Amino acid sequence: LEGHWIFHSYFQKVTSGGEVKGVGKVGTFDYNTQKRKMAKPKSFKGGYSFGNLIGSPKGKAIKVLPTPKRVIIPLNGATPTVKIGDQVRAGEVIGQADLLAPLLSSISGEVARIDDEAVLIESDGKDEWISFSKFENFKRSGPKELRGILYKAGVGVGDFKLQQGQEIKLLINAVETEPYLEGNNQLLEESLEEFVIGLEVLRGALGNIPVHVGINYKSKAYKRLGQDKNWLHIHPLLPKYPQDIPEVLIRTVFGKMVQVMVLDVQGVIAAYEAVVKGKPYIERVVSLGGPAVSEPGNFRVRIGTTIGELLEGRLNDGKIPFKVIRGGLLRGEAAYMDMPITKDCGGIAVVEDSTDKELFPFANPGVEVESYSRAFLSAFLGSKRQASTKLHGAQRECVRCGYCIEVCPVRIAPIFIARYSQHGMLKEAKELGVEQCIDCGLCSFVCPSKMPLTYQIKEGRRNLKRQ
Amino acid sequence: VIKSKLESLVEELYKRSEGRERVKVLVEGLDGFLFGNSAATAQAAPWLRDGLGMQRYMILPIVALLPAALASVYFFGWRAVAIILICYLTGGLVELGFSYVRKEEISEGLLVTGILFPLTLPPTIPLWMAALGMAVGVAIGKEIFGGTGHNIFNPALVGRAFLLVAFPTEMTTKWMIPLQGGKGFFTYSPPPEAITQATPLMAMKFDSIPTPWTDLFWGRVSGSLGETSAFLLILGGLFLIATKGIDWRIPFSFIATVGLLSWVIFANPLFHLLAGGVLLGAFFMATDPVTSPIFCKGRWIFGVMIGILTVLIRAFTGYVEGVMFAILIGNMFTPLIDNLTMPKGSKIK
Repeated sequence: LEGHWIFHSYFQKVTSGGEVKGVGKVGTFDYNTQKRKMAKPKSFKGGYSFGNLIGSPKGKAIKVLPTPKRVIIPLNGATPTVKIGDQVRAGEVIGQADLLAPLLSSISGEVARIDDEAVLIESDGKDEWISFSKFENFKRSGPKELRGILYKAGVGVGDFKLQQGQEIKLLINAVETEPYLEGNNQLLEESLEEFVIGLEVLRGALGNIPVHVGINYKSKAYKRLGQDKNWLHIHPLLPKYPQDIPEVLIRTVFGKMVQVMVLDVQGVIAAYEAVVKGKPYIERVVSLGGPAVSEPGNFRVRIGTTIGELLEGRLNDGKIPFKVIRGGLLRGEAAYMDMPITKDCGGIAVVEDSTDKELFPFANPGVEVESYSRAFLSAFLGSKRQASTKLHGAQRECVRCGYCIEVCPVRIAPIFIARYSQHGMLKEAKELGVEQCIDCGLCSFVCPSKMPLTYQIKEGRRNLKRQ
Repeated sequence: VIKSKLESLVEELYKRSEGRERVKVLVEGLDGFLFGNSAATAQAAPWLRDGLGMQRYMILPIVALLPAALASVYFFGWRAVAIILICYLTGGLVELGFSYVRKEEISEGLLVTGILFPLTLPPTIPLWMAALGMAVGVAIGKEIFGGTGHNIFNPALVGRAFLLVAFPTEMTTKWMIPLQGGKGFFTYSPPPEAITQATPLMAMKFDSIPTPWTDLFWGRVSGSLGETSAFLLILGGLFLIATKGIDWRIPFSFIATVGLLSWVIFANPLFHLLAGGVLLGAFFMATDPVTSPIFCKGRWIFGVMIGILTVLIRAFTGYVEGVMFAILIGNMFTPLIDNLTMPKGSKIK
């Protein structure tokens, strides 16, 4: 007797100190074993689940970083509305763009510098906030009013112009899979109730549309999240990289590519805070991880905080040189200390960047090696893995092992496309789907010949666009 | 201590080879052997790279072949090791020559060919003949196409095909009764009276004498150095599949096709699976990544194709064994199969 869905309440009883609010759950109930079977998680072909990396901020409670001394707010094409010397409060508009939400100051202080790229604000140490009016009964407000509030607070949906008769869907990305990125996962665990209210706010703001949530089926949040609302569709997902890239997420959830708005957990929580608490979206949870970090964790930081300020006092003082990566290890970019943390940044990873030599590396039993193949002991021991920028081998000709084709999440043939791109055969590269590449970086990661496939494909795509 | 001494030695060699590019290539080869070029770091995203490099990837088949290589000593004496060593030596010299001329580093592909090729030879093969076969295999089978990654045919099989055509007597008539009970570890080579024993496939084809499958399974039969014990070959093959050194699809489809077809044609599938080179070919030859299809669908086609060819050659031609020719013919089809099974951008779900 595999039974029916129980629609009861948001939250299941949590044994370990969690909030008790009813007993509703997702899944089917087996009367024989008196146990609940969770719905089978959806996934996609290809991809790779990274092992347990050393220095991961997974499960670390969110800490609030002290108000930074200065913030750098990138303009991203917006025009600044403040002048040098202006006093601003946290949440005040400092820039306007045509299509996007306004730029907000994330601290109170003085505008110290403005250039083509960014606005720099020096803190006055007072941390005064602009507060908006609170709408605790937001259900009575119309979509237009809600969008107005979200727009003012700098939440992504606020700038969305709803057209008459346009059918839109909202998809929430609640599965974070890249190594060392845990901010969204942790925030979801800690603020599940706010998350659900945030969903209601967003739904209201977009005209009572259905909301889809793609969520890691292993997370506690998924087990606690009920499904008592007919507009809320929860899709349990395998936490396999790159499940959180929108193209892959949409295909996994809907089975095909559709027009849909994708928001991450922070966007939903920001919508809740903007409408219910009257708080502008000027903070963000980022994770800090990596073997070179002495204290990995998740931090609530003001948007625009420099990476240097986040890293201060949190690095190992080892003699080994390290590399700071903004974003994940697969898709991130090399960062410098003055780079700001922006709205699209999930975390900072700091890994060793050593050129130290290792004698007979091929004979290494590999207890700490991260590898797609199972050629190392770590594959059988399930031990913690070390991350560094080492290539672990020399660049060689392709031996056609087929790993890149196996892992490609969009099912194209990376090695062939990379070759065509390298030789300027863009027509052929296009035929094989060069434009579908989502830059997940897995083909470069797995390649035993250490070919820079992702980079070559990116180059091909860039050349194709230029034509 | 050893590490730092070797490091300074390599640095010294680098300094001395300054300006002489051809010599520098050799030093780089030594550096790569000792330190695996671990100095290189990622310059662009992704910043994290897989721990598996080409050296480790190419060592996997050697580890998988070690049991079979040890068994060849057990059955045929220490001469088996001499044959393997001379093959590595010749292959290494040929590679060195090509890398010196081409100013390119020596590639790791030789590691596999150097052990795979001798294991396909009869135990009585003269050493010079083994060396010649290896030289032909590496030079004509691989290097003239541009080195590892560019070759069309499996180099080990090219060498063997050359020897089979050039020296048919040595390659097909001089077999040996295997030694038993560990005697092989105390002899260089079996006594002369052990020579000229027909292989199980020959006995079956010409005299219709079947060999018990237990003998074939454990290896108490005459044959090439590495193909006698089915058990050890399966063990090595499973190791390769478990470590992702090879894809399971090719050996599976190859073995299944041979079993099915020989059941139809000879009504004796087990004998045809265990006798001869089917297992060695299925796990170690047909799966050579460079010369076999790269897409899953293509690997199925490839396995079935060489399976059919193997049984057809065994059943209807003058040759007793068909695995080698079947795989070589399959190699020719690899580019075509790849083209036909190439995923197109529009087909993605």
